[in-house]
Amino acid sequence: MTAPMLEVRNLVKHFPVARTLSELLARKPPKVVKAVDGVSFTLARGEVLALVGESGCGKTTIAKTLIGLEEQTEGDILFNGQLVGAQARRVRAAMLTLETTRRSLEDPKTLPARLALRALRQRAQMVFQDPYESLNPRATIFEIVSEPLEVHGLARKRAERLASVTAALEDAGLRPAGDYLFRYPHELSGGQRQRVVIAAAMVLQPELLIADEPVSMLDVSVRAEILNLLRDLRRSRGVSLLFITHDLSTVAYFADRIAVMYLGRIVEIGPTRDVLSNPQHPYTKALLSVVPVPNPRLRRRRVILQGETPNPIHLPSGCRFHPRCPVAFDRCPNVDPPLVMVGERHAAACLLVNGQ
Amino acid sequence: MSDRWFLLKRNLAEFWRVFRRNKPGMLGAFLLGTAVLLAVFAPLVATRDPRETVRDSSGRPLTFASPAVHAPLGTDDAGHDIWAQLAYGARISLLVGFFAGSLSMFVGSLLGILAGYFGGWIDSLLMRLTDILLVIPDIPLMLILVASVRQLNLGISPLVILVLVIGLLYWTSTARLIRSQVLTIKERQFVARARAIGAGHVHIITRHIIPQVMPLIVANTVLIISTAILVESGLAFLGLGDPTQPSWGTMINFAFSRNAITNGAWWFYLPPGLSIVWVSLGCVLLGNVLEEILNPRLTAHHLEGDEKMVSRAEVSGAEVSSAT
Amino acid sequence: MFPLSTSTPQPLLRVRHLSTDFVSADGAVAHALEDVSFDVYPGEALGLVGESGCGKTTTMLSLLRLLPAGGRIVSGQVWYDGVDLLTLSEREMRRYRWKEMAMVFQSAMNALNPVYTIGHQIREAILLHEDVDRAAADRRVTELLDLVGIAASRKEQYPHQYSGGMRQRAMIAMALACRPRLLFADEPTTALDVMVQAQVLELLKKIQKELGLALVLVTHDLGVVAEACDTVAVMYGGKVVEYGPADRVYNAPQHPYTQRLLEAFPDLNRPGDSLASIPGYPPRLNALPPGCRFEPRCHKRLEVCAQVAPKLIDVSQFQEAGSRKEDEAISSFILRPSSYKHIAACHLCSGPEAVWL
Repeated sequence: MTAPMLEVRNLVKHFPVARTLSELLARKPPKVVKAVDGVSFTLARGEVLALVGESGCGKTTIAKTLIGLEEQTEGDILFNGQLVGAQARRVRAAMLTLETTRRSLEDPKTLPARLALRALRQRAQMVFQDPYESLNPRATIFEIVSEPLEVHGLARKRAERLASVTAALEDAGLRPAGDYLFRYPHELSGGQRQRVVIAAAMVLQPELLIADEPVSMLDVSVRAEILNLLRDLRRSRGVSLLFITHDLSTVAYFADRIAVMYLGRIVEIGPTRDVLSNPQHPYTKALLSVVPVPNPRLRRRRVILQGETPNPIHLPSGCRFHPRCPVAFDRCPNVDPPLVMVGERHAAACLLVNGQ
Repeated sequence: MSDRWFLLKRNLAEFWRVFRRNKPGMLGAFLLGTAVLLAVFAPLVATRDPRETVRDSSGRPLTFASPAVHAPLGTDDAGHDIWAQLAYGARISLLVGFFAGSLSMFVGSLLGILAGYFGGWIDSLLMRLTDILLVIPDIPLMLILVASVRQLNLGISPLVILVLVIGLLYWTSTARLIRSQVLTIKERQFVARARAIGAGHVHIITRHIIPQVMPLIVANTVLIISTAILVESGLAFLGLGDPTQPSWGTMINFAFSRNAITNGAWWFYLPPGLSIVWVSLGCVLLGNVLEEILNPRLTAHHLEGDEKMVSRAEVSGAEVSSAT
Repeated sequence: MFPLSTSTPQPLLRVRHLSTDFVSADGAVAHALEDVSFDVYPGEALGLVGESGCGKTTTMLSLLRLLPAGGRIVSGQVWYDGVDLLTLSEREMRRYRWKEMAMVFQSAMNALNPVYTIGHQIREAILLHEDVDRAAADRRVTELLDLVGIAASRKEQYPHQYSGGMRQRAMIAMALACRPRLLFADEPTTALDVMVQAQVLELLKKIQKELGLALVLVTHDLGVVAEACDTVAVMYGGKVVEYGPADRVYNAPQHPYTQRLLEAFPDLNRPGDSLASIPGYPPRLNALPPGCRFEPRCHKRLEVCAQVAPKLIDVSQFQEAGSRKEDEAISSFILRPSSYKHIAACHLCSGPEAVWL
């Protein structure tokens, strides 16, 4: 069996919290925010995996770690079976010591780790949530879309860059590209801007596209276009998608598999159809029940969890969901349930489904 | 690069379209522009050399001649033409102001960008340094510095000393301003996006940070130039100017030390004083308007909500129940 | 249309032919609203729904007469309990705001003052508008917080100690401080997480029922409207393109825009393999198409659409020819005969021209 395109093994990301002066004086131990606390999943070529959860569940931190914006505390990220990310710092140090022997650096065989990091950067790209914020307001569309080429030293000739940028823009549905090349982001609508972001991500021909809430800032009529564009890109380019969202209804159209996250953990993961039609974890059930249905006749009983996601500094004991769980029982505060298979490729982390 | 040229032209046209309708801005540009023209064309507008003594028909020097006697601005105690002094003095004042202002802007921007972007110890060091410079009164400090450097007789022109001292002491406010701007820019999503692409620090600073702070730098340079002109005038008034190349401040110093006031020779001290006001007002008006116009267009969308935070205030009352 | 007998409840808010312009600094005029009419009955929730720039927020601000600089109401009437708000002086109008008609904004963090406690801010709102002493005001604060589900112990906490959902609850409590009869909520759930969205929506429905409030819910989210509203006004390009009981608008949409919008809304209950999308972008208010404003994006457009703006057509009759089963569903849903009115602005719709009483 070939290695999956992306494999994440037991990923942990803790952010230290700055101590106040009084805490320092009282010699209290430093606190950490456990943003991601042991997450594993794989993503096959051309597959769409949706990471679903509320804010603070760690889904965006996973994206940032994958793309190299954050460094994980623990765990491994494998891209095509090759380890990346974790060694980012080590690789950088190696690059510094090797700076004197520059020529050997240019030889790909001498430093595979550097290449692996580069490969990830180049082959995994991210689409951010807010198309109003993720474009430099003082750069033209051409500058924005050609920036990745420039950073990676590809298409050094201007004519080549122009050709690549034009192709990327047209693939992203901005046709004719010439109308957009020398305009500024503020001259475009939200949907057009998000297309520019997608074009800039696709210009490097990545194998993995990480989309963090790519449509939540857009109007409904435009959302569908962007979703359909992502779907087409996946179909035509075979690009894998890690789709991060809090909106289950969007996912239903889109994802092959769903991973539901709560407080830094995956609580349920499985094929979309199974998770949506046969949810096992009470949190998944609650999330599904509150998805708005655009029909007043279909108003249903909704499982509305009280309170909000607790602070990831002070995690509840046992199952982290138990303080808000409608079906919690006496063992829940004591046992931290592992993910257990409940069907084909379908797993959930709940004492009730495990039969434990 | 025809498209780049086209973009530049379009941006300039757009800028001019907005600027043209801005009355304070146009007034500022006019004030500054006339002063620059006066300096550039000094030999043409002043028919005499400022060091030439004006004499009456009998060959006696015309001292303290009023504008009525000797057009257009009379003469000083030695019979030198004030108008010529004013025109040539504009060169000195504007040059010192321009170079000192640009130097301070360069130092301030560089340090502000580095401190804001990298943070950490660079930031701490820089901010402590600005704190120290901010609490020391600047005019006495500069007096001491200029005087002691001159004592060393290094053969540096007094004007260069002035430029260096003003330029190297007046960057603190700029550095703080730029730093705070950089702090907000580096947290913006397009910078995160550039990092996600794999861009390095140099790329991010030159492509994303500097273009965002450039308007602030441009507008502030104009403002700092006016400060530099004022400071130069002050120092020159206190006798630290170059007597062989009199600036407007030096002129006032001469007027003061040669009893122009007791002689009622208002044409000696008033024109340089008003010129300083003229130029500083022009700079301030222009600077403020530039900042207003060049500010990046931040069109916010009304669907945008509060930023979501990873850690949030603890929620008490996380009761467990299900509702319908 | 319907005889005004004493048994027929009167609308609390009657908006008729409201038009609002925005004049920019360089003198250009944008017609932000044109001929907007709708009713809001006591105890009823109206959803003003549309995409950004469609005029839904402008409508709310026009009704409250809180338009930003450059905005002015050109024509129309806003009847609130028999009084035309547009004829009132600014001072008289102030009596209506907050005491009669209160608002909940999208960004609770910006609407709350960070340097005062939540309890203090609500108390001040009460003391400002009502002639009561501090102790009475304080009791009312506790009552209000209890109503919105905030423990009394959190009364003396500051906004930054509240989470997003709690702040939105505090905003609702503050809006209810002076016992208004009409509540405007502008995107009250947009910035919140799904679960908190559901909580806030549930709360709005609960207080609406308990206090008999009329609610105007301004949102871009069709799901929220379906969940909470009795009537819907769909806006596009500054006009109401479809108006009617929620059940009918959702299940038998007459305007192509409404139809497409509903098809574009992802629905867990009908996962298809492709979402419908509407090509193009909403019109800019300073460059509106001459005919129907939706014409450039419409999939059903006729030649006439580009030239002539469609009239508002009453499609209630047309709908009543529907199946028996559907009628039953409607009758169980609709409370008042006047709410039966279903109106759409499209050349494809047939029926009498809508008459606004």
